[in-house]
Parts: sequence; C-alpha cells; structure tokens
Amino acid sequence: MKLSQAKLCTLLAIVALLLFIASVAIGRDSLPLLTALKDTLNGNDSVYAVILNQIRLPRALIALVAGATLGLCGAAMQGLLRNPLASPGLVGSASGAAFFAVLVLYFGTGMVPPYVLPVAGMFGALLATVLVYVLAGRDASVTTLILAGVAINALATAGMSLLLNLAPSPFAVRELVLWTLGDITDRSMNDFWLMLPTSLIGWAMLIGVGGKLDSLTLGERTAQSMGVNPVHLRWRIFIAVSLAVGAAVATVGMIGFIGLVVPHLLRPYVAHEPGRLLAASALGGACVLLAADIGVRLIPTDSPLKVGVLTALVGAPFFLHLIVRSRREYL
Amino acid sequence: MTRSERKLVNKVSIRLAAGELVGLVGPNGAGKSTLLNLLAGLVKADAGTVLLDNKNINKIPLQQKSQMLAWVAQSGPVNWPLTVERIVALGRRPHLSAWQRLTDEDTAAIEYAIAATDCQSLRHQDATTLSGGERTRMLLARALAAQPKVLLADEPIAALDLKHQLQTMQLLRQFSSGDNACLVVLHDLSMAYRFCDRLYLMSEGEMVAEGQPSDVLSDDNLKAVYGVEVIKGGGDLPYIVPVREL
Repeated sequence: MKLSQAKLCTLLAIVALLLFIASVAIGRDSLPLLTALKDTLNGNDSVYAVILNQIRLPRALIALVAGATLGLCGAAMQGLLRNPLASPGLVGSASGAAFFAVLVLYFGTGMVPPYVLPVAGMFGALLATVLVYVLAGRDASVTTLILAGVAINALATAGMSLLLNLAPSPFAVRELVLWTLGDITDRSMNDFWLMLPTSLIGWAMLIGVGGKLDSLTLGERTAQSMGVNPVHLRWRIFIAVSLAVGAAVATVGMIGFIGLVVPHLLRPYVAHEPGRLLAASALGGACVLLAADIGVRLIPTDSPLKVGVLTALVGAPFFLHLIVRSRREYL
Repeated sequence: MTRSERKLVNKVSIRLAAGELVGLVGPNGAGKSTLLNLLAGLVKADAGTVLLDNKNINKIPLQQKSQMLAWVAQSGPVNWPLTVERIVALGRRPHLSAWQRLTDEDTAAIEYAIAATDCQSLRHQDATTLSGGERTRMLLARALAAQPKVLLADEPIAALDLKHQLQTMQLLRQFSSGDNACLVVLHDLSMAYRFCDRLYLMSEGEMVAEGQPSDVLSDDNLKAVYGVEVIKGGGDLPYIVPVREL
C-alpha cells in the first residue's frame, strides 16, 4: 500500500495525539480531563490538577519523546547500516546510560536529588559515545563502528552485572533490575525537561540526512560519488543517536524493540525509502510507546508491569518472524 | 597508489578532453577500476593529482563535484527494494538541496535517462530483483540523470546482452559530444576499437600504451599485455578475437 508522505505522517500524528490524550486520561483513577484542565488554567490546586500535571502529563510527554527518539533513531541506524536488523542500541550509548544510572542507584539511593539519575545516565551515554569514537578512529568503517559499539555494550553490561553481584541487599538488587527493565511511572516534569534538550539536539542533527540515506541505498562508494561524505554522515548519525537515545534511556531505562520493529513495520508504507522513513518512524515510535505505556496500566498484574517488558514481549516474537522471513528470502 | 605493498596504480598520466569517448583497457588486475576510483576522487592517491576543469578534484566541494562528474560502479549493491524509477531519480540528488522537490527539469532528465537506457519497462520494478544486465542499465541511467559533464563508467557492458551492449556504446558515444566526455573501462576490445576516440592500455598498474585504437591494440601490445594471439579484422566494423594463449 502506498500513501503519500503527508497523508501517512498526518495519520500517524493523529494516532499519536489520540494516544497521548488517552495516556493522560487513563490510569488507576479516571481523570475528568476537562475539569483537570480547567483547574490547572485557573491555578486551582485540586486533586485532578495535581494528577494531571504531576503524574499523567510528565508520563505521557516522556513516552511521546522517548518513543519518537527510539523510532527515529532505529530508522536512522537501519538506513545508515543498510540493514533492517540494526537498532539504536548498537551505538553503545544506551548501555552506557544504563550503567551510569545503575551506578547512581547503587551508591546513592535516597541520598541524592532525583535529577542526578538522568544526568548520570546522559553522562554515561556521552562517555560511551566518546569511547566508541576513540576506539573506532575518525575514518572508521561501519563495521568497525559497530564492533566498537558492541564492545562498549559488553563492557557496560559487565559493569552492571558486577554491581548486581555486589549489591548489598536483595532490595537493592530488585531496584537495580527493575530500573533496567524500562519504566515511565513516577516521572516528574523535571525529568521531562531534563531529557528534552538532548533529545531535541539529537533529532535536529538528523534533519536533512534523509536524502543522503536514500543515496546510500546504492552503497557507500556510489553515494560518495553522488556528493555524500560517508564519514561525516556516519558520525553525524552516530552522535545524534547517542545523544537522543542516551537521553531516553537515562530517563526511562532500557526499552527494547521499538527502534527495531517500528521502522520495519512502516517501511512498506514509504515505498522502502530510508529518507521518508525517518519522520514516519519517529511518529510511529511515539505511538507504540504511548500505547505500550497505556497497555501496562490496563493489563491487570499483581506487581505493576514495566513498559520495557511489554515491548520486549511483543517485539521479540516479531524479531523472530523477521529472521525467519529474511532466511527464506536469502535461500 | 599502494595497498598492502602492492602498487595498484603507478606513475599513470591520463587526460580526458571535452567531446571524447576514451576507453581504458587491460587485463584483470591491471588497476583500471582503481584508476577510475582515483579519477572520481573516491579514494586518495598516495602521490599525484587529479584535475577536473583545471581544479584539484579533492578541493572541489563534494556536491559541486557530483554535479560535474558521475561514476558508475562495476557492480553495486541495491540495499532496499526501491523501484527502478526512484533509483534513477536519486541521480538528481546532487542538484537538489535536502528539502527540494523534483522540478520539471529534474523529471525531464530522469525521463531521458530511463528512455536512453531502455529502462521504461523496468521503471516500476523492484530494483533488487533485476538481473545483472538490467541493474547495470539502471545504474547507468542514474548516472545520466545527473547530467554530468564527465562520466566514468566501469565495465558498463560486461553484463549486457548483444543488443544492449550496442545500445549502451552508442549511448556513450552520443553522450561524449560538446562539453561532455566519458572514460569507459572495457574488456570487449572490438567495442573499444569501434566506438572509442582514444584508448589507454594498462597492465600491472602502469600505462603501457595510449593513442588511436589501431595503434594501441597492435598485435605486439596484445601479445605483451594479454599473452594471447588474436585474429583481427577491420574496416568500419573492427573485431578482435582471441585465438590461443602464448
């Protein structure tokens, strides 16, 4: 099915908006949206206004931004690597962010102000990016970059395992593990304002790379002959993805499969063009994370279901389906 | 240019003038493709310079260079199942800024390129499903759509059937007029003899001969470079057929 870019993006934006409103409205206690909005505008600190501004709104906004980041960065990575199985996690910044966040949880639970956790996460993401740069070298090929990213991933995972291993109490272990599962509950507007600038910088860096990714369809050499500087493009996407995904992971933990699955689902609707996929995939990612975050509230479980678990539960079988299908294609 | 201590291209001087169709011939591993990459500014030489319009090619801004010069790979990947039409349209990218849509002029260039390479029947086909020859024609169309002044083509007819070999050579001949020029790597010496204004013969990274096809493709040169004996025929339709190894 072929939709024009404008139609597809409008459609996805409408769905994202509806899901956003639903995310604000749905929860343990139902929220009369209009009353809550009226109270907020009148400066009335009613219960409804507090629920809206301090619980529901940050949660929905963070899901929107983190989801869009994951979708966008997944599409950018798949375009850059020309591989439908690539994901934003490959650049190493996600696990760098997770490691530093876990480090803060390990040493400083309850003692540090709440903004330290996302700040540390973002620092970890940047540090991982710098390490990948140093490891791979300026003129690195895509393969070297990925290997460097995988090495940093392995290092960060090993670090996290060590912290879990040495954790002083089962409660600490539980807290560390639960954080890494990916979750958007109990976030404040401060968390949102912290993640927003870095996310926006990452997004802005990806503006205008669409045409270059299209040219890359014919291989790096041909793209180069068509005026694309492959080294610049590689680093631009790598750093953009590191910043945006780092901010997302530092705020919501590890949420897998959105960056992998969303671009793949939308690709047929943009005639497989990697450039057109970027915007669509960003909107699609926002829709999926908003929907998943509503899902965890609606699915009745004894202890609250983490949104990262839900996306993995839905995403992993899809990933398997992709592998089986690509195996069939290459036979 | 040296890689792993092997001199791929050594002390080569080559010139391409406006209105010329120049052939680059030589055995496998002679360094023809590497030379073409060097000339396109895609790899940097350890020593020496490439001038495009009297300017050092590595100093020309990438986009400006890609408007003037197009390079067609020997065989290139097509990584996503785009339609042939979309791939050919990519040829216009050097002329467009990131957000610009295709103008009528762009569309006309694309249509011309599709027609000239006989790709009309393929235009809506998924480019990853094309045969080797069809893919070569599509990649050539992509390069022509850019409306370059200089076209560097690496073995564009190696995978083509007889009709399309002829069509492609005629197309390159037609392209190489006025301000335009084309350097083409060829293995088919008969085609090189028949269509090219001048030829360069390479062997083991060095230039062995250059000049008129009749001089370059002399019996002695062919024996020395290819190590084969050939039968040649001439007139308006020259042919060169290998007979036996020496």
